[in-house]
Amino acid sequence: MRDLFRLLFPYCLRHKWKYVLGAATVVLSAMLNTDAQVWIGRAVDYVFSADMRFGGIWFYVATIGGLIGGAALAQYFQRLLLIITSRNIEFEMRNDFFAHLSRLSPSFYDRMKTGDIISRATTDIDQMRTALGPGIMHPIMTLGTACVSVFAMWRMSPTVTLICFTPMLILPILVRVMANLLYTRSLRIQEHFSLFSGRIQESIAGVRVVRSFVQEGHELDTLDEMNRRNFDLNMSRARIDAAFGPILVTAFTLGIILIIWVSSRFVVSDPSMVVPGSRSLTKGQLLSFVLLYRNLFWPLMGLGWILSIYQRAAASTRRLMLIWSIPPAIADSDETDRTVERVLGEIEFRDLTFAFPKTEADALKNVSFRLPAGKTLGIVGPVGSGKSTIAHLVARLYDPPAGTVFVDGRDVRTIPLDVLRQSIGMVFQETYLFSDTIAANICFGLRGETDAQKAADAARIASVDAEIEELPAQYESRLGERGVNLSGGQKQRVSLARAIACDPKILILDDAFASVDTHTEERILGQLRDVIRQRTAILISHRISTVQMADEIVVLDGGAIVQRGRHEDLVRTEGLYADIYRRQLLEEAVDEEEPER
Amino acid sequence: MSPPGGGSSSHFDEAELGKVFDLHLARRLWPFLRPYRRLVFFAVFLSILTALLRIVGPWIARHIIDAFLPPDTPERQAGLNQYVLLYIGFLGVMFVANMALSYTTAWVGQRAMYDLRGTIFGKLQTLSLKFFDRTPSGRLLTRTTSDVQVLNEFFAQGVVNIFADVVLLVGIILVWFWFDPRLALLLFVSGPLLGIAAYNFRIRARSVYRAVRVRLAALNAFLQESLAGVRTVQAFNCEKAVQRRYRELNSTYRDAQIQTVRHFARFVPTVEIVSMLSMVTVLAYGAWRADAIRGTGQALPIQAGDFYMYFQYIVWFFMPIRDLAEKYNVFQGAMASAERIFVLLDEPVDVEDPPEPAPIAPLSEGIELRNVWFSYNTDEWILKDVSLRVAKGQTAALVGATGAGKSTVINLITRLYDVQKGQILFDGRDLRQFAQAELRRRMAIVLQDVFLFSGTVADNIRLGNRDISDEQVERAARYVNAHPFISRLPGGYRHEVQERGATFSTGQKQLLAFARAVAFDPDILILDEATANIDTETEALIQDALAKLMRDRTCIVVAHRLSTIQKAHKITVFSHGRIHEEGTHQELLRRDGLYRRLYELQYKV
Ligand SMILES: Nc1ncnc2c1ncn2[C@@H]1O[C@H](COP(=O)(O)OP(=O)(O)OP(=O)(O)O)[C@@H](O)[C@H]1O
Ligand SMILES: Nc1ncnc2c1ncn2[C@@H]1O[C@H](COP(=O)(O)OP(=O)(O)OP(=O)(O)O)[C@@H](O)[C@H]1O
Ligand SMILES: [Mg+2]
Ligand SMILES: [Mg+2]
Repeated sequence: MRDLFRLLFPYCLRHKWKYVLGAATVVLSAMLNTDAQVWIGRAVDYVFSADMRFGGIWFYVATIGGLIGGAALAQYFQRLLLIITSRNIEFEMRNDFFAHLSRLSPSFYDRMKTGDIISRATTDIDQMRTALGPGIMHPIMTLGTACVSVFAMWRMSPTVTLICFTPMLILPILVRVMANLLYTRSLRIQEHFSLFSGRIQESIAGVRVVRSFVQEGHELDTLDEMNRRNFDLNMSRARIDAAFGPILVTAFTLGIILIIWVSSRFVVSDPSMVVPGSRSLTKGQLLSFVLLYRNLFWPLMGLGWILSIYQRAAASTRRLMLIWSIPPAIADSDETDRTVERVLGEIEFRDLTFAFPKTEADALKNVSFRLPAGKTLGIVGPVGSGKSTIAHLVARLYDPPAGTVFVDGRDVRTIPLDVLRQSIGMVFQETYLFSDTIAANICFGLRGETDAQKAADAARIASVDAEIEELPAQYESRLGERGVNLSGGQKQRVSLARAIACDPKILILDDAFASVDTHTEERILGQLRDVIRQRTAILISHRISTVQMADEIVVLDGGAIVQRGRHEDLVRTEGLYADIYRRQLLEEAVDEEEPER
Repeated sequence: MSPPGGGSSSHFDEAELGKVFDLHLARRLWPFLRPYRRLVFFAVFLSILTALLRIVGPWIARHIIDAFLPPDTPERQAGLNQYVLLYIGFLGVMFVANMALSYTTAWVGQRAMYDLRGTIFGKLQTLSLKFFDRTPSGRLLTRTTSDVQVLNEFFAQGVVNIFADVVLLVGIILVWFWFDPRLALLLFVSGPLLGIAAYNFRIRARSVYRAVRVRLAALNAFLQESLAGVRTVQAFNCEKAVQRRYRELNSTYRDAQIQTVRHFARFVPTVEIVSMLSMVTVLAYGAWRADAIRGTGQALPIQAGDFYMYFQYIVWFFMPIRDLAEKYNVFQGAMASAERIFVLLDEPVDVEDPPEPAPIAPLSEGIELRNVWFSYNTDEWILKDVSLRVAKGQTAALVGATGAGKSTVINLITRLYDVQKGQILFDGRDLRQFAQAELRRRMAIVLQDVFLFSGTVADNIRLGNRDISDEQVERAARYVNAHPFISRLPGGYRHEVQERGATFSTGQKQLLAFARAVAFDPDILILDEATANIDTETEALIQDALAKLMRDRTCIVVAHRLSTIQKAHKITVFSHGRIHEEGTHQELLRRDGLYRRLYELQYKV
């Protein structure tokens, strides 16, 4: 609960005047409304009084009308003030949460399910909004109504007031107990449902695998099992729910009949016989009592509901805070040197040993190398040897230990993050494209502007221009999710174009030609040569042909550098590189025997 | 030359729908309730019963107030007690009826939801990949989760309660007329007032509610994609840009929400005022009648109990009307959801099993593509008149520039898509004669884009196939040389895989996908760039192991790295969707064509 208030308070404070004003309108409408009920009773009494004139009733009509009109007006403003404010806070909160999410480091996302984060960003923030809107409006209204009603009833008859209304105090408790029962069951439903939808999502995203391996039956069985469990859990809540509503309605009606029954002996038949302050009650007053009771019952009951709203919001706060309280692992700190505005591109690793967060094995061991600005580094090595890890560390997607990774002679941890990343163009080993136009995807690194010329230039260097231009809408063609409507090599080349388009100082190509045929690769490398000449480049590949032109090549194995040097030297030294080279050559040689070249 | 059809149907925009009630849709929903129709009728009966009981309640109370108050004689006291007891007993009946109603409704609703979800899952398993290509996964998730949920709400709040509401309204009107037709007519004056308010509300709410839904969907889709691509966003330093975009979408969503608040803010107090006006009308009428008989000594025509009864009825009369705003939203949402669900369920299955599938035997001759023409979205042919034979027990390789159509051929052989012209033959019979599942059971494939499920490493290799034992899983992993890295993982084969295998290197993921295909021990093995991210050493090890494994199996290999395919019995070179040349490695080298050029480039080191 404390967390909830700590989270909400700053937001509420920002809108405090709206809240103060809103609270005033709530109290006002409660007062006017209650008064109207009292006046209805008076009017009834007037109708039954001896000196009744038809003309006299208009006074009552006007009074009641005025009160109700006022109350309605106050209610109108109350909604405008409070509920709209809650929507505004929801808006701010969503933005803040999203901003936080976008800053959290990849190591956080490695261990989380996207579906889970999304459900927090949607459902849980919704809960908070409910706590802020109705959750604030309602208690004030209840309190206002309760004070005014009890006061009004007290004036009519203290005894009846005491007899009738004391039992109502258990209402919020009753509701709370029931709401608690409901709440725990709802929570279970929610948790299971989150798993369920995660599973559905996966079954849709992996549809190619499911089809290819004829897993439809298995998928259906698994989903059916979860579906059934969802049914069972929902029914277990429905059992409580089914009792809850009727109990309340019955309690309410029972209350009315009890009021009539208990107060029956105080009722006098002639209004003129009532002595103010005595126990006796006119029928009109009895009617007022019933009306006031009705006015009070639902808000009091609602109080129990509000309690459960807070409870839910508290649970949601816990879920949100779990993420919100994680500081972005990678962000500018006091070490950051803000004077750095540009990166020239020299990269150095000094005796780096690195393990991914929450893992034990080192992914990189004692890695050192220095890559002067404008030069090219090639990295080769077996699967899982740590090549991509090096690429990620340069862009600080994972945080290296202090004093190990340097750019321009500065520890990367002291370079402002946006300066560092702005100067790096990265082609990830696994391409991620957005379901937007091709042009927007290529210009992604330009941060929001789409420049057709730049897109076309970059596409040309990456050798996708011809294929894009064949599409009906060319650069404006929309891609499907993750770029499904492109071939593997097309995706990879669009992602290459994206890296080139932002004109980076450092270009990192992580196995960027894996899905591209040699012919196209050769063409791209030729066109890249000019691009690379002015930049620092890291080329990661399994093909010797890709890295051979590098100024230095390092060979990784099991996270450590086992060899380094230029291509010419490496092929002459016994070792992994020469092995790879030979094997790639050997396969050639096997066939060389025959063809007449 | 352009393919038939033309005009690509774009499903990129969510259709905006705004109907509140659509008989056609309601009729289509009925089959889902039909199996439980007895319970549905029972619920409707209960809801009508409770409505009738509710009408009786105030009537008893009225009698108590008028006949026994004050209870100044013993008879009156006795009558009072009797009636109070009667009322309490009556409440008991109502309590039970209400509870039964609520439970029955919940059961039927949940049950129908369960069935509907099952139907949608089933449908999704029959739709072809063409459909999945153009439909964002988030949208399909919405169909099976919230859209179904909305329909349940519609059933629980709408379908059942609407009978109760109607009975209540009609009942109250009848009682009014029965008691005093003139007063009833007077009360009707409020009708047009409310009509105007409700109409106004309806007109405005219609588009606003729709906007809320559409904008929320857009907001969440963006959220989903930004999170899935968060590494890219960060590497390109685009956090600010996506934040800005999110803020924009969020603000349009908020504006729509605020519109609904404004409508509510106007509508609810209006109903309140009209309802109070009705009460005041009753008061004034009572006064008028009382005034008319003043001095005659007659009993007052309208008593305190009558007032009570009228007030209570007025409250109930206006309650459904006030809830109209809420219900309106539910109904409209339900119709939109139902429509979208039915659009999905009506989606034509374009890759269909024949009514009587031919039995499929292990491949004995071979697979043949005969003059195949194919296009994904009818704008442009991707494959043009492709003919290709893969003999049983042989290895066929497909090579060619990126985007040439190699993966497309694979997609067609596994019948993930259907050809538009020409045919594909499995042992001389058209693929379309077989059941898809039986056909695919003969094959195992390593897809170009690896997908790992959450679950353990072993689960990812054997998928749902319980026949594959732990030993077989491990053997498959050894074949593809994945065993060394798996055994180093904490938990080994029981290691939990994160979403999409986030903590594995790309090559490791590919090895797992490879192991999966090997573990399924197929007649036909299909490898689409299965070793693209794998180093030469590891690949050589796999090749050796595979050579034994695949001795008399059929194999189709797509690769850019020619080292992978030199031993193939036949190599087919694709270019722009056509077959450019064909032959063994040696033959192709001698021919001095595209293959030779590719080859020389690769080995010119
Ligand atoms: N799902 C799809 N929807 C629409 N078009 C597609 C789809 N998949 C591929 N294409 C298009 O079809 C053409 C052939 O693609 P295909 O995937 O068969 O190429 P590929 O030969 O496998 O290339 P790569 O070597 O790059 O994987 C490409 O132009 C691609 O844009
Ligand atoms: N996000 C991560 N969390 C934990 N471990 C990781 C993560 N990413 C990679 N690893 C592990 O670190 C090691 C090195 O991975 P890396 O991705 O750098 O390999 P790689 O050399 O790029 O391999 P490949 O050739 O397959 O791309 C692997 O054993 C891998 O399982
Ligand atoms: Mg890698
Ligand atoms: Mg392909």
